[in-house]
Amino acid sequence: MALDLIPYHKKNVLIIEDLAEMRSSMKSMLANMGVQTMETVNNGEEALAKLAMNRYHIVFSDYELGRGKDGQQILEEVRHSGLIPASTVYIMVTAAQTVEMVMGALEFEPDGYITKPVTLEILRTRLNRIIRTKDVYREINLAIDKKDINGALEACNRLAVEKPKFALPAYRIKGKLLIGEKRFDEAKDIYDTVLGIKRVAWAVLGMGKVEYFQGNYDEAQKLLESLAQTRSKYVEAFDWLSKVLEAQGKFKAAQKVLEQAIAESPKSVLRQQELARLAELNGDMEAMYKGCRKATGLSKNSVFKNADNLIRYAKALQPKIKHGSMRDQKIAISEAFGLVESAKTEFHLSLSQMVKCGLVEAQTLFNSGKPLEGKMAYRAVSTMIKDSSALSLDDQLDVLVAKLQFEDEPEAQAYSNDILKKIGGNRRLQTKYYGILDFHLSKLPEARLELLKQRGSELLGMKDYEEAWEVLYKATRLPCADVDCQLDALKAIVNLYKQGGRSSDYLNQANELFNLLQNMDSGDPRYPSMEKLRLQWAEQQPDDEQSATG
Amino acid sequence: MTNNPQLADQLLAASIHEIKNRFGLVFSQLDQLLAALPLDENLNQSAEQIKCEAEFIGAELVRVLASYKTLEGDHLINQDQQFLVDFLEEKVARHANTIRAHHLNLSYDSDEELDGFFDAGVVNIVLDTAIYNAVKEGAKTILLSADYVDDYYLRIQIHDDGPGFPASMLETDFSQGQIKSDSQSTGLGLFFAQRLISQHQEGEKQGRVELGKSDRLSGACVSLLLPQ
Repeated sequence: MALDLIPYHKKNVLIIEDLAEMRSSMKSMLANMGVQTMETVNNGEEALAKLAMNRYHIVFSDYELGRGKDGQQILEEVRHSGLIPASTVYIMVTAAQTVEMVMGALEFEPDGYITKPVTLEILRTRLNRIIRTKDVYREINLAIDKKDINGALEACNRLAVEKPKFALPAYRIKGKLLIGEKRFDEAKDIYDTVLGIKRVAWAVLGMGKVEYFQGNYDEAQKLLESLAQTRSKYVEAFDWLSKVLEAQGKFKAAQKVLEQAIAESPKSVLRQQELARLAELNGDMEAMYKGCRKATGLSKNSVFKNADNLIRYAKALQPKIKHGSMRDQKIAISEAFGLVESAKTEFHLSLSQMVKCGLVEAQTLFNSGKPLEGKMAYRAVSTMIKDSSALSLDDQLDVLVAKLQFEDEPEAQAYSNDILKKIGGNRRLQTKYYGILDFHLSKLPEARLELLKQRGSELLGMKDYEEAWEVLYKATRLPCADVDCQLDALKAIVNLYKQGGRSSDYLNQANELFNLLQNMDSGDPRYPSMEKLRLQWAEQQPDDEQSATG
Repeated sequence: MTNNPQLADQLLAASIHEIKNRFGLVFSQLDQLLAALPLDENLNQSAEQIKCEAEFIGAELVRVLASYKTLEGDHLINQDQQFLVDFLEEKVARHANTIRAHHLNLSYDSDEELDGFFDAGVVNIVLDTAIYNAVKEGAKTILLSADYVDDYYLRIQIHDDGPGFPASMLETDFSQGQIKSDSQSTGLGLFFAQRLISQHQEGEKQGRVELGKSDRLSGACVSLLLPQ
């Protein structure tokens, strides 16, 4: 058969595999098939270095590579940066447990996959097949490698006509190329055609992307949610859904969706960077810190390393510098300075980025107990921030953090009031604003309690019970918490439950609060409203939970 | 005591999932270990048996989980275009251990150009069930075939040279889940196969499993009919 004619002796092969025994077993099997030139590496970093230096015809990558990047990340990075030509055959080697993840890749999909355990029979059969199939797309890939997109599109059309069996894969490539060229209407036609034949996942994703790029967010959301619900591991659907939600101004929901994707697939640099970025927008320091840390760990020598992320990470380290143990503090301080330094030296910074660098340096000094040095660093940037028009409201909130630390009370207060006015009804920025004040007051529990109570009752007034609960529950955790904030918190959670927002955490936390109020004097003027809340709370509990012991 | 069947189900499913994953790890270690040992012919045959059994257990756990999910109603299938030669060729290669352990003659027959839409994971599970059933019944030759039949059904068949299905089984309506006691495990497997396959729907047409006598080999034939 023709398939024996594949000239393996002419093929240059790279094997990415962290286990020594697996490396040698792959090598001996490939040698058995006639391959003469093989190189092996044991992690993603080395793989990227090798791929940047040499051309390989075939790359085998283990999916699960221990600590660093996984095979999918390497693939995304090399394809994203054009480190390997389209004509290189990229094969993912996967354990049975991760097959679903590998097959769920809709945007950066490998040319094929081989499930472990890999035996000579399986390797030979699969490799022959994958190479033969790859050969079908030869013309398309050659044109792509020459950056001749129209040529590639024509080659797709030819393939679809000449070999109808490959019409759908040809459309798949075509759709992707058209999106890359921002030819959205044509891409839409392609996906319409495909979805008219069969509702395949990649076409749903493609259509979702097109709708997103064209600003049809509701449509995009519907498509992407339908994909996200099909239990298969289409993490990319979550990534795009998150973008759509953000575009609609649903920042918290966008972050939540991305967190789901990360739970499935935590090793994507881009995804972790995105999470950190959204968390910063939401003022969620904890998630921002985690995202930054993961992304930085994964992006050494990566094409995805960038200034924004370095600065963001330095900023995310501030709570550690302010409140961490001595040891944590020390590490975080030198890390923060290192990050800023690296941003300044490795990248060309914009004005907003330079301001941010200066501010984060000043903050680092201040939070590490050097207020005078901090103030000097702040003065150095303050000339740049005189003209706020170049700064976004998010940037101005960063400035507020510095003003609270370094300016006199009246000046900081004036700036603070000014920003609050500019923020207007923007809920995301409001939340972030109050988060900043809360952080600033962290060593003044009484003032903090007042702030949280005030914000909490505002939110109750706006009927945003979820956020009201978050803020007020935080207040109840303060040592100086009082009955008023406990009651307001319970008001928030009862109403949140009425709206259907339930979780076992909420349940336990609310029950705990009710317990605290158990001994309230029945003569207390607040007693009736507490009892009313208790009744409403009981009504919200499903019957089986009430009678769980019965 | 509280009777909470839902919780019990979740416990079982989570536990099986964990066992499946751990077992996958054990199996790959075992495979490396066996490969590194110098074995004589007798021991080697035992090693092949162990590998085959281990693979069977792995496949069985995957099947149980998928079947469980169909009962829960939350196994939404994912149909994508599959090329039958690729699909069947890999299925045969995957069963290299079964072939060696049972001196089985396993092959496939499909037109090079044939393609179809189905959930590869689900069809894999059902093919495994049918192959292991045939081996258990003593089949020495198994043939996988694929073609199109009446009005756009893709048909994948598993033919064998075993004793064939007893008449009572051929009369059983698996869609109703009636299982005769003398063929319980096979019957249950086919019942769930039917559930899994029937999730393939296209307009009015629904996927189904049919049992019969093989027209290619001397024994049984299981047909999966997948609407396109």
